[in-house]
Order: sequence, then C-alpha cells, then structure tokens
Amino acid sequence: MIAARGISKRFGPRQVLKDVSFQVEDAQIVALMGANGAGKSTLFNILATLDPDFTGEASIGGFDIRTQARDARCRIGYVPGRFSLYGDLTVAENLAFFAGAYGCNAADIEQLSPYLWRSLVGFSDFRADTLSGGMKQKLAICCALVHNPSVLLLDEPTVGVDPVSRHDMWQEIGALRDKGVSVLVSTHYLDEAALSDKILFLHQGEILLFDSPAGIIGSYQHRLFSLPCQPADLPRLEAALATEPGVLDYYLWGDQMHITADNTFHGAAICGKIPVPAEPDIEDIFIDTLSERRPRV
Amino acid sequence: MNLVEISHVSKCFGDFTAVNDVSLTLAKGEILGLLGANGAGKTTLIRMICDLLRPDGGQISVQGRPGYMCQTFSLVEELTVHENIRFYATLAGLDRAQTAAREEAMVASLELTPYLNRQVKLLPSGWRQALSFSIAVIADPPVLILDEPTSGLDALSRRRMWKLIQARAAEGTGVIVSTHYLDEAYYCSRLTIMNGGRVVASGVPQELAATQQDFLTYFR
Repeated sequence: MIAARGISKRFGPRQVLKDVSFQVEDAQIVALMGANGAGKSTLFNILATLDPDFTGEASIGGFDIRTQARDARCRIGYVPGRFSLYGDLTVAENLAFFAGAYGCNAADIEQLSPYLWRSLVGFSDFRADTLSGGMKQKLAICCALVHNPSVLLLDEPTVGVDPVSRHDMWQEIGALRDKGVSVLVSTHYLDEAALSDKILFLHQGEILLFDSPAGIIGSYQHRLFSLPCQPADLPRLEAALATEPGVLDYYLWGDQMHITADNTFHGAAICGKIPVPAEPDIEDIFIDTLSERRPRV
Repeated sequence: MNLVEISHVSKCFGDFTAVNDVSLTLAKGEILGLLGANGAGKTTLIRMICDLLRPDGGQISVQGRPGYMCQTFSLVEELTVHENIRFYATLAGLDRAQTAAREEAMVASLELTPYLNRQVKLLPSGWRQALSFSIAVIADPPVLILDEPTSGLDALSRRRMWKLIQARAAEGTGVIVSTHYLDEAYYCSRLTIMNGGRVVASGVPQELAATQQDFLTYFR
C-alpha cells in the first residue's frame, strides 16, 4: 500500500506539490495524469525515498519513507522517467546487477514478470543501448521487479513505446495488480488510464480529481459533440466554430473534431455537417479540465 | 516535382536488415505519417533522409536541407531559450536582423516570453518540444522531418504541436512525421506503415483503417 498525507514540496520560490494526499491500496492500479510540469515526477521521487526534502508524510507498505526508508525501499520497484539501465551491459547483465543489489536471484524474473521477460529472453546477450525504446522500457520494468516488490512506481513507462508493446506492458501491470501489488503509474495515454482502478489527476501540484474512470467520466459538466474532420477541412471548420454561439472549446480527435458546448448550442449543421452527440472519454475530461484553467489556444 | 523521392532503399547493421527495399515520395504541403512498432525501421529511414546515415542500396533525393527534430532533441541544455535560438540561427547562417525577426515571430507564436531567459533543462517538456520544433524550421527548410515529436506530451501540448505542424504544411512545407499515437495518424495527409524494415501499407488514413485499432493489424 502507498499512503501519502499532505505532501508539499518547493523548489525555491516555486511550489511544485501542494498538500497531496491519497492512497493506493493493495491490488490496485492508480494512474497519475497531469500536464507536463504538473509535479508527477517530483511526487515519484519523493515516494521512491529519493528526496527527503518535503513536508507531510508518506508510507510504503506501512513503513514511513523518512524514518524507515530502508524497509520502505526494499518493498518498492521504481522505474524513473529516464532510462535507468546500464547501456554497456547486456540484458542479462543488467538484470543480474539489479538482482545482486537486492540479494535476489535473477532467474526468478521468469516467474515475476512472465509477459515482459518472454519478449526479452531472446535478447539476453544484447547490450541494453542497442535495444529499441520499447525493449529498453520492458527491461527497466523487469529490473524493477526482480526483488518481488509489493509497490510499483512507474514514471511514464510507455513514452515512445509502440501500441503493441504497450499492450504487453499493461498485461503485466494487470497481472501484478492481481497478485496484490500496489501500482502507481503516470501516463498520457487515455486508454491506459481507462485500464486503471482509479485516476489521480494532478494540476500545478494539486489533486484536482481522484476517482474511478467511470466516476471521472460521470463528472463531465458540458455537452460534447463530434464532427467528421479531414485535415483539408480544418481551417474552414475552425473559423466557423470560433463564432458559433454556445461553443466553449473544440479540438481534433483522430478523424473527428470534438466540440464542447453549453446549453445554448443549437446543434444545427456547421459547414454542412451535423454535429453528433458524443460520449466523453478520459482525454476529453483532461482537456476540458485543463482548458478551463488555461487561456484558449 | 516531389520534395523527397526514395526508391528501393535498404540499410543493414551487421546481419540485421533495418530498412528493406523502401520507396516513397513527399510532395509540397503534404504531411506523411510514418507508423510502425519499435524497431520497424522508422528512425533508420529518417536518419537516411537527413543524410546522417548512408543507404546500402537504392536512391534518396531531397530538395534542400531538411529541418530535423530528433527524439532526443538537439537543444543545448545549459543554454537559455534565447541563447539556443541565437546559436541555431547562427549555425543556419542567418544574419543578425534575420535572427531577431525570426526570434520575435517564434516567441510570439509559441508564447515563450516567460521562458526566454530560462535554461532549457528547466523547461517543461511541452515547451521544450515546441522550441525544438521552431529550431528545426529556423532556416525555412522545404522539408521537415519529425521523429516522434509528441512523445511524452500531455493531451493539450500534443494538439498544440499538431497545430504548429499543420500551419507549416499549409505554407507548403513537406513534412514527414513518426508517431505512436494512433489518433494522430488521421492528422496526416498520407501514411506509410512499416514492419520489419519494409513498407507494409501506404495510403490515405481513412482508406487504411476505419478505426484507430485497425492500424494495429499492420503492426503484427
């Protein structure tokens, strides 16, 4: 279990975390979302016992991360945002190094991380810096799992990782949760957030939302519409939407334009196309929440 | 005439074939999306187009010198935003007046004013990527190559980056862009999907896949 109570953190005059409190239960995945610069990596550093310079309290598996840091640390598997591997060691040597640091057996990885190790085992003798981005991240997760931690901290593990490898990683994350591991994972992918038990939405160091994906989607306050949009239509459509009464915001969504509107929006055809009511997704909530706090682009 | 013409290009590293008999073209104002799994050969192909790697076989012709934004960005971390712009403008051969005009336009369009004197290593990643983008286009290249420009960006910064890309294409620049976000495939005028070093599909996004998930069939 991860428990954070009133965590605040300053870098000089800049407050990067403000009174952050939450819990990740055993056998639970919490997705940490927020804009670039929201404080996500700072929070990871603190929870991983790497930064004691904060106010508030936190514990990992019941051990205080300040006063019982050693006990807390051996229960944590941490994959930081930047690669934590030794580029000039092979896949097998990296794993042996991390296993050795914890006094564990590297061969146990086969049981501890079956999904990820399966795709890595053929590359055992490859140097880590010759692996593709996706493979590096899989190896980093394996190295963080080799001591069988009860808490897993993953800081944007799927950045630069292709959709198929992302699927493999989330299979593993799901299996770890089912084994009882508490997982805190930051991501910008809405499909990953939707796979989590709860979403913690951090904005400028503060918790804005902390709820299940369904609860967060249910909190959507506006009306959402969708309109087909090819790249060539874009300038005409944007010009029309800019002056449309009741339109609060609009943004591209794959081959559609999503339109956020209030009750005064008439819903009639725009540039010859009728807007269709749409169900909001996590990414719509994310954009909506942030746009209200940012000048419109 | 096409800005980029690639015909039957291959590249091997030892006995590993990274790019295998790839042909493609890029016209003025086009956004060509490059999709594929990690290791499919996208970055190797991009590095050959930028003349950073020599192909083992086949031909590549590119008009002018392409602007290139790589995955790791080439910003000088220790320098400020202002100093990075000056540094790259000088490398691109711009004179003082041109540099000043370009910097003013960039700072206004990217809302960089509050960060001008901040060291690049202290910039939030959304701004850092926007700055890398502007530096890639500082000399007005006819061709722009972007290797995963939205990787690690939040949903708003991602859309902001795509506005910059589309504005550039509307002015006639030909853009080649790789991405792992399947929704972004639809922001491209054409797609080339790679698997195991080969082109496995190419065409208009809507014709290749009715839904985002359909793209994955080409990855496997």
